[in-house]
Formats: sequence, structure tokens, C-alpha cells
Amino acid sequence: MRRVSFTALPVLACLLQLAGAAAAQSTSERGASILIFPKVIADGSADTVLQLTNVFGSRVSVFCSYVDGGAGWANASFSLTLEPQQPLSWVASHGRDASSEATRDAVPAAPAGLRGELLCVEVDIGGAPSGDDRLVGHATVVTLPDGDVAGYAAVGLRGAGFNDGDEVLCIGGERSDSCFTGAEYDACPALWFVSHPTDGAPDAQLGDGATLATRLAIAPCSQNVRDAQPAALRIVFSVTNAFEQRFTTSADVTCWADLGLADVGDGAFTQNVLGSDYATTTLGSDTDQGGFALVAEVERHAAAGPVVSRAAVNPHHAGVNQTSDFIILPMGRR
Amino acid sequence: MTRPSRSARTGPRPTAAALTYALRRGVAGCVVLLLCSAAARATPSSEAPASLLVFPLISVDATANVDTVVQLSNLGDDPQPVRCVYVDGSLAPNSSAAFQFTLTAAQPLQWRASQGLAALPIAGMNSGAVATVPVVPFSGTLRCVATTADGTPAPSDALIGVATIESGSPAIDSASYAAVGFAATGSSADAPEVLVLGGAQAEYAACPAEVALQPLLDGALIELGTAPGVQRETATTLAIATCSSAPSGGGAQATVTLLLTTELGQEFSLARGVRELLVSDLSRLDTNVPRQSIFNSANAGAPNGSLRITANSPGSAVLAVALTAYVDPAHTATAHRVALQTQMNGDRDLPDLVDLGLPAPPSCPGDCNGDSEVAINELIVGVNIALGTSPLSTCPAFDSSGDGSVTINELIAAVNAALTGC
Repeated sequence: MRRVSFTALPVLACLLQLAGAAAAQSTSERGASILIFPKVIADGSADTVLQLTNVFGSRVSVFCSYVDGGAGWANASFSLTLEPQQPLSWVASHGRDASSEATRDAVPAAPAGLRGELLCVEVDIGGAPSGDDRLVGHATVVTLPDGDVAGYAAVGLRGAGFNDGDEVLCIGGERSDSCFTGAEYDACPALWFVSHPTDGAPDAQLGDGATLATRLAIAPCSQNVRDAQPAALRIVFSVTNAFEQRFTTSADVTCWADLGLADVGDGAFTQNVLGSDYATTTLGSDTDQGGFALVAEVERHAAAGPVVSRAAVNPHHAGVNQTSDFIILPMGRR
Repeated sequence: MTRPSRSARTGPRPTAAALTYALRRGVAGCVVLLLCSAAARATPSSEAPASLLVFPLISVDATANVDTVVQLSNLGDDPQPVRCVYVDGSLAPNSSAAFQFTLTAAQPLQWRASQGLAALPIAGMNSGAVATVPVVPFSGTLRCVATTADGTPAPSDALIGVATIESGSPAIDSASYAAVGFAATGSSADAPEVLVLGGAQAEYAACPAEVALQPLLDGALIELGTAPGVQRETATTLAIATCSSAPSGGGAQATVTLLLTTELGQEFSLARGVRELLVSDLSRLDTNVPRQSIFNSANAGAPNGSLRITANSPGSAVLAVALTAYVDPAHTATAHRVALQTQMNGDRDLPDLVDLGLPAPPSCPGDCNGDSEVAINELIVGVNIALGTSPLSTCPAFDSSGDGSVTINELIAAVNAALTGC
């Protein structure tokens, strides 16, 4: 881990300038054409309620794939159609059968032991990817058997103009050999900002010995579903405490990660090191690497150590990652 | 994974490499970055830094052991003065409070709404304080705006905020949501105490024409896990806050149309009035008998709903946040809640106005309940505040000077009011 003391940096002002030019960023609060649910668990210790809604006035077809980050890489795919304004939900471990009045499309149960993400792509009636921004999503991870819940909105990527409809989805970036017309979807964010308690900070409401901790689920924006090749990223963390001091570290992510901040950077995120009960962490990809989707979760630990409550939140973000990301869908999925 | 090759990039925007370099090295090197334009966003967002933050629901209830943790961070590289206003949804006398403080560069700040912060972390660099909520129980909004050093609202899209509504024992729980941020346009209207959101003289991004969310309907039964699985029922609480705010003018008002579409394609609509803040169980929006509600899963015949909320003109636009509880049908386990993020669609044509001014301070010291009389129990409350055994939030009316404490002079004034009338 590299530790760097912080003095006032112009860089964040620059980033805020970037935030102003936010027309082509990911979104979890508007309809989108690609949805990334960065944390889906169905491994017996938890299950996940997944909600997918067509916010448009016409029918939309969707291709989805579970990506199991816990198993290294394994994916399971399915397709379904949503009527105008139709909301649907299912529980990851159960899926959804085709006999309901709401839809004739079945959603299979997630792969056994799933710890990973769900990726959903808007497609046209022929199965070709499209970019009409009709989808929103929400996930609620339910811990079993106690029933604690942590919910977040899916990270959406909006269509960005012409879409050639092939299996390579071009996310951000410029024209290239694989993306003759440039980006088909908005880029993933350049930076994410997470406001969080420092690890081990006291939970004043729960009293003596109770502490707080933070987890981050990270899903690279590039995923080769067709060939089951996991993407790899180096994530750079920069944490600023309440005293304006900054520390940096990094972590490698392959395919998917659910990181406890306590496990990152030799304790850089602990209250003992940071000296304050809360901090803001900025995350970005290393040089010339693709972007990633992120969801943060704060855990409340009772005095004896067990987690008694969780709350997830969609972090803020700014800027657009300039390195192209690619989602490659399986051939013949139609 | 193998990446398709790509050609050299061109264009004015900074590269990820530059950003990463800046992150890792902690050096400027971003003259290039500063070249990028800062076109103001047209719509509010809970995802990007902004100049004005709105927290649609702050809850404090000592009886139920509920509190709200507020996180506010300055992402800028300059100190950032901030003005904030709590407005309780009751709009009762003394139920609003304003405070100011200055964040240092890149500084995060966190406080409990019930406690505030009497002192900020860096003595000599931070200034001001964070007030407690003005009344307990409190169910209201918090608005924070970037200002200049003299408290005048100023464009500075550097603020982000997150609220976590927490419950302590015995029903331990937490649910977080991000504040809605309004980017500044760079324009300035004439009245510094009134923020103009949208419209021809917009100082900040326009309020949304519609907010939408997709709740599981009340009473929806969910089977989780495999044998022996767990069952949960859902129950959602919806908070609708006016985008305008006028605590000194009797409260901003809106009339909203709620349009529910179920997964079977059925549509239901209803209208409700909102004055500053409406907090309601979903299945009490349309009836006092929840099992008869259109938001009841059994009545809707489906567990899923898509809800669009549109504010009618004239009147304020609205913002919303929803909390969905997962309840054990047998009531043997604690209910846990998640916050649902809303979508904000379209721009409102009409301007919304946020008045930072508060109602005039009470003319009757010690009149805690605003009934124009000072009773003996109110005097006891004042003594307890003066002794430090009760927080000022139990009766701000004693603090005539607004200095955050109750002095002997203020107690005497309250006694005189009790003896001679307000």
C-alpha cells in the first residue's frame, strides 16, 4: 500500500468540472439500455429480490445473464419481454415460472451458490441489442435467516446513438476497429465517491462495543459473456478523513469482487489509521483500464461482532471513463 | 478478457490515465481537465455533486429509538461554506431550524440529526456548527446549499450527501439514500434568500416533472432461499416532499397525481395534496383501510407496481423517497427496510422556489407548544435545558437569543410570560 499525505488538490475541482459535463454518464435514476446489478447473492447465506421495470410506453425485450464472481466465472442467461410500463420481480434462488398472467417468459433460478452480478441488456424483437433506455432495476439482498435487507438501484448505461445491433456492445470511448461508429452506450464513470464510516468506528446508537464497517461490490463494466472471459481491473482508492488527510491504496479485481474495506490497503480504512469516524473514498480504475459499477454497503456490528443490520446505497460519481468497455453477448441467443 | 483493438482517441476530455495519475499522485497536473466545460445539468440528480442538496426525509423519534445519520461531503479543493435548513413536516411553530458551517477542502462531515455537531473537526479551519433537529419527534426535510462566506447562496457543485435512517434496539435497522442534488446554473436572481429552481431565471436545475419508483406492493409475500426458506411481506412508506419550500409562508403546496401500473397492466390513479411533506404508508394513500387499498398486493392481484407521481400546476413540484419494509408474517423477527431510489423524469417548466428564511422567532419565550401560554410544565422543560439535562430541541422557544443555550435571563423572561401572559 502506498500512503500519501494530502494537501489541497486541484484535482477534485477538475473532477467537479467533469461532473458538470455529465450528459453521458451512467445512471441509476433514469431509464437505461444496459442494467448492471453489481451485487446478487443466492448462496444460502442470502437471497436477492430482483426488480426489473419497463418505463417506456411500448413492449421491450431483455437479455439477462448472471455472472458468478464467486466461482471465478460462470454465467447463466435468459430472455424475457416486458409490456409497456410493466414491473416484474423475482427471487434469484427461485426465478420466475412462465405460468403467471404477467409474463409467458420464465426466469431460471440463479446458478447454485451465486455470488456475483446480473447483467441485463435491452434488445429488439429480433434479439439485437438496442438503445431506447426503457429499463430500470432494483435489487434487495436479504440475509438469511434473519431477514436483514440492503437495497440499491441497478447501474444503468443509456444508449448513445447508433447501435449496430451486433453482439459487441461498445460502452464509451471513441471509434475503433470493433466499434466503427463509436460508443453505442454511455461510458462508465471515471470516478466514484463513497461516503462511509471508517472501519471500526463506533455505532453510537447501538452503544458500547458496537462498530461499523463498509463493503463494496465491484463489477467491471466489460464482461465477455460469450466466451466466459472475466475482466480484470486495478482499482485505485483514495480516502479522505475528516481532517483533510488523504491516503491511497489499490486492489485488483477479476470478474467481480465484494470487498470489505477492512481487507483493502493494510487497514487504511480503519478508524485507528484514519483517526476519524467517517471518510469519503474516491475510486477509479488504473491507467487505461475500463470502468466499473459499484454499490456500497454499511454494516452495523453488535458488540459481540455479528452484523445486525446493513444498508446499501448507490454511490455518487463523476466524469466518464475514457477507455472503452465492451460487453460481448453470446451468439445465437435469439 | 480480450479487448478488441481500438484506434487512437481524440477529443477534449481528460483521459482515465490522467485522472488516475491525479488520484495516485495527489498532484494537480489537470490543467487539461480544467479545460473541460461545465455545462450545468438540466435535471436534478442523486448521483452527482451539486450546489443544493435536498434530503426528502429526516426522521428522529426518541420513543422509537429512530435517528438519522447525515453525511455531507465537500468534493471541492476550496473551503465550502454551507447553509442548511431543517423543516418539520408539521410546520408547527418553532419546528424549523437553520444553521451554517464551513467545510474545509475535500472534507467529509457526519452527524446525527438528534445531536448535531457543536464543534466541527478542525479547530480554526472549520467554522460554525450543525444544529439539532428543532423538535423531537422530527419527520421533515433537510436542505443544504453552498454559499459564500457571508452566507449568500453561490454556485459550487461540490456537495454530496447521504442520509441513513437508523433504528436502535430492540428493532435494529438501517436504510440509506442519497440526497437529491441540484446543480447551479451560474445565474443569480435578485433575492438571495430565495433559491430559484428551473424556469427562465433559474439559479439551479429544474425540479423533475415526474418522479417514479417501483415498489413491491403492500402485503406482497416473498419466499426467500431454499428449504427451509424464509417468508417476508412487504410494506412501503412513501415520503413526498415539495420541491419548493416556504416554511415562513405556511409551507409550499403541491397537488400530485399518483399513477400505479401493476405487472398485469392495470392502472389506478389518485390525487393527493402535499404541504411541504407527506409521509404515508403506501396503502393508506387512498384509504384508511389498508386492506382495501389499490396498493395492497392482494387487491392488485400482483406483487409489483410501477408508480409515477406528477405534480399538477400551479403548485410545487415534488421529490420522493420510499422505504420498503420486509416484515416477518409471523412477527417473530425484526422488520428491515430498504430505501428505494426514485427516477426523476423531465424538467418542470415552472420555477420552484426554496425560501431559506424561517418563520419569525416566537414572541413568547418558553411557549413550547405554541399555544400563546407558558405553563408550569414548560417552565420545567426550560430549567432542564438550562441545567443541561434536556436538549434544546425539546423546546427551542426558550432560546430567545438563538445562541443554542438557555440562560437565566431567558428563564426569567419565560416566568414573566407565565405570570403576565404572552
